[in-house]
Amino acid sequence: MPKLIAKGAEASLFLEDWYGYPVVRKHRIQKPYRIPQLDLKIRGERTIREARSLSSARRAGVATPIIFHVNPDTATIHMEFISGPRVKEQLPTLSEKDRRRLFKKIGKAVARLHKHQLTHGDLTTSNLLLPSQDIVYFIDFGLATMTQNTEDFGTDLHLLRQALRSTHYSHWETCYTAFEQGYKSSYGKDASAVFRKVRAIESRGRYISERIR
Amino acid sequence: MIVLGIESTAHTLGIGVVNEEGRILADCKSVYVPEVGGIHPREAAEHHQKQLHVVLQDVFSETGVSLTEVKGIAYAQGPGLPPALRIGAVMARTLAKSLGVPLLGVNHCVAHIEQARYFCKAEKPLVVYLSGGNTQITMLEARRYRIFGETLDIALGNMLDVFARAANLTHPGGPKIEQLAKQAKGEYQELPYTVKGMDLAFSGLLTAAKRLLTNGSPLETICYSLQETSFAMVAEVVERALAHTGREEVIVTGGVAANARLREMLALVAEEQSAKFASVPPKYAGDNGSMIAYNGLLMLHAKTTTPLSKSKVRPKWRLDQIDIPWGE
Repeated sequence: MPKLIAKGAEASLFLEDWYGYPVVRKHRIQKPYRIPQLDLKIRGERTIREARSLSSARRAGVATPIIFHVNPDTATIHMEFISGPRVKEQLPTLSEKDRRRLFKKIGKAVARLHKHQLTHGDLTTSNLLLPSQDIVYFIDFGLATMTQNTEDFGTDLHLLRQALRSTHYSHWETCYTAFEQGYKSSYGKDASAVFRKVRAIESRGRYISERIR
Repeated sequence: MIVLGIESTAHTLGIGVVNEEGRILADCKSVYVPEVGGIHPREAAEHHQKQLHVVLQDVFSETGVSLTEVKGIAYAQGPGLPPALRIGAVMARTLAKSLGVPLLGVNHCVAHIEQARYFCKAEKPLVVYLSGGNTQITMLEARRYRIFGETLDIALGNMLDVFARAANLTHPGGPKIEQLAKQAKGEYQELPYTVKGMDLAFSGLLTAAKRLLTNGSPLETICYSLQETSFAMVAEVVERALAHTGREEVIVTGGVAANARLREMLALVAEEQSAKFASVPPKYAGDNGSMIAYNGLLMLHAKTTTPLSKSKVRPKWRLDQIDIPWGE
């Protein structure tokens, strides 16, 4: 009997057996609030997008679950079961030093994605798993894109920055600074162009008094 | 004891009065409607200036209260259009000074949200704030409204307004789009769907919808498609924010909250995430004076009054810049 282990915004996750191997079945369920035409399109597209990006990310050297099976018609993906807490819950329990270390690591991994022309599209601490101290798993690639556009990389960073500011307001500055250091160390000198883009994106928002030149 | 509140951030000149429990005793308004195009800041200010004493008269004839019972004058200090804001601010300073009562500079966004929380009796809700100027998903945590998602370009209500004008619908456009969408009989035309994490963008959607208009698609179909697409985007980010934060209540406020289809969608989202849903009463979804008065009351209770020297209008006063003393 499949066991529901988590209900996210888009999908339900079931723990199942795959020929003797524990797997997660990620099922993008139908949403009653949107019209069927839109619903079908979104679920199908995101399923394909996620499967592709999970494996691209892995090839780029970023830890993601291994995919076993994809079915865009039913909007389901069978993937490796990663057991571990989310960064969201873990972050408040860490020491300042460990927080910095962790976010440097996350920064390096995101830079690796970007160097391989891949954005995550929904970088929050809910989408990062910590099965052990040394490894961060990236999940939920439904909004990922293949891109070479600095704007898209900047959006990724902006989303993480916003998630940190809102969810982890007591630690966000330490975490984001460490993230930037890690990102820069892996992305190289062009990282400053991405950082500038983050500021540009944020200054386009509503009621931002500080415009950047 | 009563608090009087003045709203003049954009179209609406509103004056409201609440008693010490926050109950609304009066809520009067006069709305500036541009003859052509969108809001003209100076014309809006002129309208507000001319209507001030009329609306104020209405308030006192409606409530039967006298000025001597007023224990605080609240006004929307920002964000908004500078010329329009200044009219309310001048009025507020004058009244406060002559009555010898405290001046209370209110943030318009916080006022919308606090009024919605009051009506919805929501303790710790995820707040969806959708209006002509704002599109934000926010939550009060440790004395501050934390923004989880917002628009990266224009506000949802602004997008609907601009489209309505392009389609020659008279102001206010939102309700007319809603009516037309109902007559569409389910024909849907695909439009750009832009969600970035918990953020949104509407300008591409607006451009595409306007293009459909020039291509001669039936207006009903475009209105339906526009609503279904943009509201589904909002619904999606709200669901994502609920899953991320684990909050058990969702409330919606702002002018777009008057749209029944939007409320229906958000109620379904809440159900999906086992959360409770409530909306501000449609009558108070848009800009009004009573929300400013109510927020002024909260400030008065928290003893955070605005000295004259700090009463200058703040046209770009962001929601997440404000200390909320009643937010524990």
